[in-house]
Formats: sequence, structure tokens, C-alpha cells
Amino acid sequence: MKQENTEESRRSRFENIARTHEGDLFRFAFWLCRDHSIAQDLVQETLLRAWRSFDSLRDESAARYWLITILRRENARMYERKRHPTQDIDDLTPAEQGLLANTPDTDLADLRAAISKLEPDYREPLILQVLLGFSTAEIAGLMEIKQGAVLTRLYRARKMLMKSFEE
Amino acid sequence: MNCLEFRKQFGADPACQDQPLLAHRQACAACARFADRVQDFDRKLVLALRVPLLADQGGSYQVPADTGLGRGRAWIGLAASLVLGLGVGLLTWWSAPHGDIAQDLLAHMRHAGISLVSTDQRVSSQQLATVLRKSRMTMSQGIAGISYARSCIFRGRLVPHLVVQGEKGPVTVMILPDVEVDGPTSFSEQGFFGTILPAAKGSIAIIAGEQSDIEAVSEPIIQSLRWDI
Repeated sequence: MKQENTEESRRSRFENIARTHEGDLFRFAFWLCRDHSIAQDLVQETLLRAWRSFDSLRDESAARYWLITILRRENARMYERKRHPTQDIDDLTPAEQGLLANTPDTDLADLRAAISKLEPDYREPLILQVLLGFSTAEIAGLMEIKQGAVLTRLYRARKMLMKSFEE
Repeated sequence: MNCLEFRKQFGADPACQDQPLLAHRQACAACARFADRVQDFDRKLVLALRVPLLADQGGSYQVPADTGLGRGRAWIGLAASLVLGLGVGLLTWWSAPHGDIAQDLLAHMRHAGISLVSTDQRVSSQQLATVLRKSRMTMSQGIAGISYARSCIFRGRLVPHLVVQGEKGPVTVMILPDVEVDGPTSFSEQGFFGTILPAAKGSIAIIAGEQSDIEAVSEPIIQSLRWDI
């Protein structure tokens, strides 16, 4: 009985964490791969892997960092496995175009298109900082690069976007 | 700190509260304007990066719960089912031989929320096929009235979770490759009727508010489901 309660509590805690972060995970996954069905798969695989290793999460307040770490690894694995071709913005399916341009605000749609065209090395730290609110030190940890490199990429990413957006 | 250093640092991290950075912003009008422009741009960036989570973009996670309409309906359904559960449950509860699995299924249904919603929405055959394919399954013929199809994590395994709109309300179908049953097993808990049917591999759980809906849905599902594609 006690064991059942423990298992129930474990599942409940995991479901709460998954529910809390699923939106962020999906958005991060989407901006990584720019393909909404691959993003869905990525989130599924991430949650499945997270569930299997849930016991390794000692501090649940760090769940988001932990989940993003898993998602990044899973993305690398998926990329290795499937070798998804890089998708040109002009070749997006109507669903993906809808996702990028699902707004009556043309500025926003243009900005989404510009973000999508950024090189992954620049796009990823920007998403981690602006969308997910990670510090540059945390981004360095996640991306396994030096903090100085993160700062350079963030500066350049903003500069490129502002330039293309304000042209 | 000179203007170039300020712009590089601020352009990389507009939320940075370093004292030299703040001091330069105070002292240099041109850099203050630059900082305002970057912060204004960042606000637009946040909006742009927050791509919408639509009902048909969900995965194993419950994206439909993020849409206002879905959440509202789901919570109305959840509240109604809780009331129903308290009333009917007291009258009809009986212990099922597979009580644990029944409770897990009901807990998952409630978590998903969408399982309790009556809707005119239907999933496309492509979406259904995608969900089934992830679990190495397919359906040989179309099943009418499927309003929801997602791969969900259930007991640590990715399983297809479907909702079929029955005559009297939504019917949840979960295909469970890892759950073996010797024969059809029925349960009635928390205001819901359920049955777990043996299948070629594992079993199929069907849960509804009305027994008649279970019978109407189970036969076509069993007939059309193909495993190990």
C-alpha cells in the first residue's frame, strides 16, 4: 500500500512537472527544428526519457533545466539517427507557415521568419535567454560552451535580427 | 566602460544589472537610446518566440489544455464528472479485479482533461495514423467520430490515447501493449464504466460515462486495429 502511494506520488509529481513545462519544451523544440511534428516527437521522447530517469532529478526546482538538457540531447540523437534535412523557410509546410505566421501582426510574422532563418548556433542561445529566461551562465552550461562565446552569439543574433527586421 | 563595450554587453544581455553598465547608460544619451531600442526589440522577440500551442499541435503532452476553450470545457467536464463521481460512485462502486489499472486509467483521463469533453472536432486520418504508427499499429478501416488522438505516457510507456465521440458522450480508448488480461474485464469507478479487452498484443481499455457507448465503440476498434506494422 505504501509502495503504491509512493509510486502514485512519483507519477503525480512527474505529471505536474511535465504539465508545467510542456509549453516551453514544445516551443524550444519547435525553434530548434522548425518542424512542428518533429517538435512533438522530440517532446514526447524527452518526457519519456525524463520519466525513466525521474529519480535522478534531486531538486525539482531545477526541473526545467533538467528537461531542456534532456531535450537537447534527444534532439542531437534524433538528428544523428534521422539526419533531418535543414529546412528552408520557403519550403515550410502550410502548418509550419501557419505556426510562424499565425498572427494578424505582420511585423511579428516577419520577425518569426527572421528568427527561423538564423543559424542554429545563434538561434538557440537567443531562445534559451529570451523565451526561457536562462542566464548566460546557464546557457553556457546547457550548450557546453564558454560564457564569453554565449555572449558573443547573443550579441550577434540580436544584431542580425534587428538589422534584418528594421531594414 | 566605453560605448562599444556597453553595446556589446547590453546587446548580449539586456537584463544585465552590472553597475558599470547601468552607469554608462545613465551617462551616455546615445547608448541609452540604443538600450531602449534593444529592450523594445526584446519585447517583440518574446512575442515572436511564443508560437501558439494549438489543439492539433499536441503530442504526448496535453497541449489542448493550453487553449482557453479547451481548458474551459475540460474543467467544466472535470467538475461535472467529479460531482457525478461522488454521487454515482457511491451507488455503483464495486471493486474490480484490475482495480489498480482502472485507477491509473481514470487518473490519466482526468489529467488529460480532453477525455471528458464533448466536441464536434475530429482528428484527421493522417493524425490518427501518425499516433498509431508510433506504437507500431494501424487501423484497417476508419473509425467514425474520433475527436482526439495522441501518444501518451502511461505507466512509463508511450501508448495511443484516443477519444471517440459516442452517442451519449466521449469514450476514451487506450491501447495498452504491456497490459495483459485473461479475458474481458469490466469496472465501474468514479462515475465511469470501463472495460479492458484482450488484444493481439496486450489489451485495449475503453472507458465511458455510459455502458452502451462502450459496446458501440469497442467492436469497430477491435476489428480494425492491426499490430506490429
